[in-house]
Amino acid sequence: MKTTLLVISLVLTQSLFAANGEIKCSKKVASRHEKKILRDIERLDQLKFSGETSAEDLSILGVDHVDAARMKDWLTDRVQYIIDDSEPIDRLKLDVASRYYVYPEASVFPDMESVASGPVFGFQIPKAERAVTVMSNIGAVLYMAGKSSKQLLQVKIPLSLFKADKVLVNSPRTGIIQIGEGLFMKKFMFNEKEDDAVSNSISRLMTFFHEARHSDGHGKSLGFLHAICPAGHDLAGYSACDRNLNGPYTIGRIMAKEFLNSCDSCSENEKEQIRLGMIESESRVIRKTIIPGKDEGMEISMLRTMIKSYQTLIELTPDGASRQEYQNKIDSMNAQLQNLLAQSGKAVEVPSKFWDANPEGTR
Amino acid sequence: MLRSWINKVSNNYSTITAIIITIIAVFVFIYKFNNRFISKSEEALNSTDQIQKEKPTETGIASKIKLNEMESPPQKSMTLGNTESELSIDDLTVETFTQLTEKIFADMPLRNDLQNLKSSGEAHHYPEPVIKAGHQLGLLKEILVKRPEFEEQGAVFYQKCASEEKAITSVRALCLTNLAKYKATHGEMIDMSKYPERVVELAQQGLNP
Repeated sequence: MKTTLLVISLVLTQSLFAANGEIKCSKKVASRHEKKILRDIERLDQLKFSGETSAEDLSILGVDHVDAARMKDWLTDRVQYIIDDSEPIDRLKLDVASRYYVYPEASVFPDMESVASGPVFGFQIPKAERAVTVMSNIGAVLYMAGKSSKQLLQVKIPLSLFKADKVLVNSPRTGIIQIGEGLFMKKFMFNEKEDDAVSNSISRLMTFFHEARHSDGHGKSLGFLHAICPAGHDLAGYSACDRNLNGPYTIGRIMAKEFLNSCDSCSENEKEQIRLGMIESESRVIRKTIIPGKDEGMEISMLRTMIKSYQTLIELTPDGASRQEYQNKIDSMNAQLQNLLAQSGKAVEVPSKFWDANPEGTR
Repeated sequence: MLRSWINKVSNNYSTITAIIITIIAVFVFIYKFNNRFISKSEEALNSTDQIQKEKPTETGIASKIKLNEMESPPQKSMTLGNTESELSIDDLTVETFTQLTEKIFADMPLRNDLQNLKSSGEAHHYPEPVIKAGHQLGLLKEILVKRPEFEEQGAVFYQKCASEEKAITSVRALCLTNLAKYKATHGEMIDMSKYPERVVELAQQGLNP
């Protein structure tokens, strides 16, 4: 009887606390979401990677070739925990593990391009309405918060009724990713008819790989922060671009390309959507930045002031029609500005660079 | 008697431990099972809720033709024209296909839609207007692969789409990619100088996946 009871208890507990591979989900992540995420990652094995990745893309990823095992490792090096958006940053169980902690490159922080509307890691900063969360890299945010306050943070992530991991946030590679309902909404799926379609897994994986890149970088490149999309861009004013050549949007473009070429079970319809995703990701990469030369003259200076004024107006105006009107004015003034700068020959065109992706910290 | 029973129990200490572990495991199992059941019920509720909340938005260029619902183009069948009947890809004629491309063009999400996102977080990943355009272009591609006789009409659509200044840049680029592919199969070249530099650069990405 004793043996039988022990076997029963062992089987039951095993079924409840079975290891989820290397990525662990908080107990607050709905089990249906957890199952989908873990299956998505397993599905990497079903894809037939061509092995024809360009040398530049391999160098950006930091791998010698692309296959399922390599890309799983790439992901799990940067993503360890998944938490739900019902656990916002202010409700996480945070502790200070060490005061006056000496961080590497303690005084070097990335440049945060300021605009009131800009999410840096994909945070939801509500304007008129709150939108659904898709995914955010909370681990990198916590690391940066700890670094700026010179304290080593520790976060407690509940994994089950009796189990919680205490995670030291000593690197952006802590890999705590927050997900929300947006990741699973039907209207965002490539295949709305078949929830279980491989293309829907691919869509979520593209988002995962993008977010995972935020776990990289050090000093100035820490977290691969997004840049404000410039005037003239479709998303001008939003923090939804990269001012480097190897950031999250480039990773998104590379992975979309890999998935496009490796998904045998995807229909032409689904492949076309992946192709659009690939182009959309690339459209977020700012390849050059025009910066003003010294002593640029009164007319150029006035135009810059006007553009800034309209950008502020956009941020303060909830009305969509007015925002568009202001954006049109910005676009027109920006075109005028570019002409004047080109004529004056004083503007300097700075090409974007590859950032150092080596992660900061000890993990 | 009680004392002898206690003695027996003490002698069999490991059995008691096993019983306790089993009780705890059963309790936790029931708790977890219950949670899973609740989350499934929530899922069912959410999907019903979503259906009630979601309503189509008018984002087209000039919705001149009132066609039936095309917000979520189906994979294998579609509702076209003013008729209520469902047509499969096999049933399409040049007229109904042209009508469909006009409808798609009229309903195509625009750059303006990206400036009116509900929150800045929406811009971070693929915004809904881009996803919607993907569904439309995906459907079109699926038809053109199955019915290559419509390629000429498809090319007309792609040319209009690639030239539309109000259209989303990535969408224009994908249209230009498809147009370039069509032209290449007919031994023709495209005058890329007609299109903005960024659209051409992005179209190159689509051409060399």
